[in-house]
Amino acid sequence: MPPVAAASSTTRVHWSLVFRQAVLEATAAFALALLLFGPIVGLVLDGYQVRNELQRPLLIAAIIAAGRFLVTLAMHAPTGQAALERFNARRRQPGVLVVNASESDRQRWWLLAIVAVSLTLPFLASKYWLTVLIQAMIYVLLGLGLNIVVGLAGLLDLGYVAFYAVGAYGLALGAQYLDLGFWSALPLAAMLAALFGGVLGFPVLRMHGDYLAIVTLGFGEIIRLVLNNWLEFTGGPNGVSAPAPQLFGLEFTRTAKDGGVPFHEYFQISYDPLHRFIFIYLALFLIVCLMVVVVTRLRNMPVGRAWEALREDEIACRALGINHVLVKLSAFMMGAMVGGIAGVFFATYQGFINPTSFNFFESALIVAIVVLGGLGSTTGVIVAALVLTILPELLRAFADYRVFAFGVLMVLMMIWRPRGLIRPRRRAFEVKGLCR
Amino acid sequence: MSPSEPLLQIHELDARYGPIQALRQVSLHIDAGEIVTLIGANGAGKSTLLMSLFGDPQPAGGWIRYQGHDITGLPTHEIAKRGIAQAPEGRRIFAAMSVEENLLMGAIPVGMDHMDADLIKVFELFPRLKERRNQRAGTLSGGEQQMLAIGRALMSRPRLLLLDEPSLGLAPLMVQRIFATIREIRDSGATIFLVEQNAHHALKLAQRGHVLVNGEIRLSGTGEELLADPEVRRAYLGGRG
Repeated sequence: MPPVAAASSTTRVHWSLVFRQAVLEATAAFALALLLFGPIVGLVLDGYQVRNELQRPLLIAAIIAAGRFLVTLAMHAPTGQAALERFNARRRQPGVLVVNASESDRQRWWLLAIVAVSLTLPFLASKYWLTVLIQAMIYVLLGLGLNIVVGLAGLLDLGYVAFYAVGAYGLALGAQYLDLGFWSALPLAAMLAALFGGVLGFPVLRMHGDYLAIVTLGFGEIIRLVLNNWLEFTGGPNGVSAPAPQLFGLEFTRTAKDGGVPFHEYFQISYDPLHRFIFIYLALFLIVCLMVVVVTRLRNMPVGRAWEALREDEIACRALGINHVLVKLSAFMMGAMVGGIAGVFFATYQGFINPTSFNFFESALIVAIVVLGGLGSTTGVIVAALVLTILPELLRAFADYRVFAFGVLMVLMMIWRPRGLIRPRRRAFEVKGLCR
Repeated sequence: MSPSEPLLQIHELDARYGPIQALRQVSLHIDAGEIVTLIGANGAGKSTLLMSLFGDPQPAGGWIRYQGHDITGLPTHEIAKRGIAQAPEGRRIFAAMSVEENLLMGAIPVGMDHMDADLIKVFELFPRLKERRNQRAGTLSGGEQQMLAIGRALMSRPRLLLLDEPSLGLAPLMVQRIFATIREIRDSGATIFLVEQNAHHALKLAQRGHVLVNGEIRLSGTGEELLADPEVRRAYLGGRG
């Protein structure tokens, strides 16, 4: 951003100076763009020969230079100045937003509207959009889970996908070996994932920052490699199938297996494969709502506050009598449990899983959701998860530019919203006997 | 606990950071209701003494008794639960959390039963914190942050309050205010172990004092005795002896 803040106090604009600066900046942008795009776009590998297509980077650089020129001019015009000033003012707000009572009243109506829309949406959606919605909900759940570990407790976990995989395989293998149904596997897989969270959490208690990130990254890869290579147990790359959920013993199939009753026969409606997805969506939505309530409650309870305090200052926490071992472990296990639940839903919705679904890119995507959403902000994480899963579907036509758009989004975020889309909010307390 | 036994007794305490001996045979005691101060230069081992009281680093030798129980080698959070609270050096407040949340964190060792009453007490002691209760703690001034650190420590209803350089980096006026508050806290019945570089203020406030030099206690006496001591005057008070 050009250094224009000082100029905002003067009312008269020295256009000759501005023009000179714009030309200078445009030239710099031109040179930089040429340097960057020259080798990438200008040299084309054609068979065994390198073709020289320098006119293309020149064109790109010219467009960029023109854009830079116009932006600089606009920034110095009074309207541009005003816009910039407004924008910076918003950024200068102190970091804590405290919600007061009237504001949370207004939020209640919004919440009601969102829940109503979310509940009617699946009945209107096509199968394709239903799967997109389910996918989005799964990422919301993953984001909420990782938000506990990264956003609240401040422990950078790059191998979160491991717990997702544990949950998914918990359902699939539980059905294969122990003959568990969806609803009995759900809590068991969640507990199994929490156990894995504890197993990972214990050795990394003493680690901070980069070291923690590397170890968790390794843990994620270990789980994936074990799933991939333990052919006899997990089926390796061939994967395993996962059972579909049932509604009180009613199956969502055209004809029931061994004596069960299909859902559509019981309610005497015609068979529709969509029923299964609608049911998964509604169950998932319920779990997400439950999770939001739990996380919001936890944040106002000692354990949740201890997570955040631990992120701020570990030594101070210990001096205040907080058992940092327990607090860290609880964050890891809680996060892992949510990841496991998301995994169970993923498996049941896919009907079939294999290790390729649980690679590092998934972990990175979930971390991106948490960071984009604003570390620690529940609303932000939900919005970011929806944006990052639904937007790529809307922009299918530009699928080739998906990673590029991702990068641009990240850069813009770092400049304008370094604390994430939505700032974490804190609740004001009511203290008895204290006048405000 | 026999009536003659002090609230806290440190006996021939040694502490090390690897090969470096930070504390050598430090012995001192604190009786209930008094302010005891420990003065010394940078690197003399003052903060190490407070930290090893809290089990980090673990003492390499000697023992610590608190209320008649041996607390040597207990984990930090266990010691905090026994009624010792600390306002650590450099304040170490939770910058991203609100002032009020910082105070609530202090109440963790005693549970949430008295929380509202204690919060009101702390706000009476530091009206400034009440004004800023919903503000991000990181946006407070240095003096206000120190108030917050002390207030946070008080939230656990400590019998013994450890203060590590509360005057560090504060303006003279603010230092006077903090010390006045420390006296107020003592008058309300707490016992205070005050670690300071600001020898003049600390010795005027304290009943007894100790001077720590290179990890050893060089001098002990009442506050007035130490204030009048030529060596103390030369080394810590800028006097000519």
